[in-house]
Amino acid sequence: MRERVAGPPFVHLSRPQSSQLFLVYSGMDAYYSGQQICSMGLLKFLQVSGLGSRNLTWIRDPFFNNYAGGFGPDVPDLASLENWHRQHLASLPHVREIYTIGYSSGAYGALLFGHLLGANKVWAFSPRTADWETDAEAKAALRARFQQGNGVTRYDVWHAHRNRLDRQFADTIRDCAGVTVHSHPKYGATHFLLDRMILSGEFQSLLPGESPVTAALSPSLAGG
Amino acid sequence: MTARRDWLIEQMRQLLVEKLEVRVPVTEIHARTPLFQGGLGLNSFAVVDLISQLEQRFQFQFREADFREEHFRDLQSLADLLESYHPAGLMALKEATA
Repeated sequence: MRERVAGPPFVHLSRPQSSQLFLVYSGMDAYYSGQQICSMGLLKFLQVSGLGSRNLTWIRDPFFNNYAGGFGPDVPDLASLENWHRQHLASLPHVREIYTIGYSSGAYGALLFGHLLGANKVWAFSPRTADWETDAEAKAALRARFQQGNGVTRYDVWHAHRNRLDRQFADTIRDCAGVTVHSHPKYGATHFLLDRMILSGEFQSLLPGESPVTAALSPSLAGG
Repeated sequence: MTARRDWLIEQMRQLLVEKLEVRVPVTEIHARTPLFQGGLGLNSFAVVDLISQLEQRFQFQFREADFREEHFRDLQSLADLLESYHPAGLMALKEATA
């Protein structure tokens, strides 16, 4: 296992007026620079992605091992990280819709936890695993989970049409229930498909409309 | 510079050291110390952490359009932005913590 990257393992932006939660998995970004999701800074991402007005939790893979190492001593493995997710969701009672998003090895996290949590939808862009040494094993483990299905989640997996490695990952789960693989015809062999799609506005068009917390969900009204 | 501005910058300096564990002595963090390269060296993950901490501390939400690097250049520019939201709320908090 690699040495844990410094800094908090997650950051949450609370939007009490929104009933949607987007869990964003940053994968290896922190390993390369800590500056970005895909190749744009997080500030730019917040500004233009359309997610800055919705509940948003950024989740790092501090050990760069497909989240198998959890966050550290308090959340040391995958099972405890799954439990952390459930506690996190329980702390947001106004949330009614859960979405996961990931780029590169963050896509692995988005797929995995989207599946485990029964998310409404998953978007996985340019999927990879975090470690070449365990690449085949990690893909097989994900496929095994997906073959069981969760009966709920739809998974949209995107790769640039000429990126062989991203396509290979997508092919691993292409035939699993709920999975749709999109081979993007533009942008050649880029691995930075997500930022291309954000800057072109294509990503924003994939998102569901904003869903405000309604009065019907207000505890005071529900109790009456 | 106003007393409110001084107080606001001091609040953010403390937040940087206490919550974000910036490895720079608080005495070396000034209003014009860059948050990114050449200053505190925050990466953008830490900046989002700062956004989250500021929103919790001052009970407001940034508008998406305000997630611009020029607003997050240093504490002075951040204070300008924060005061554009609800200075009355900031003053109330200042009085409550005085």
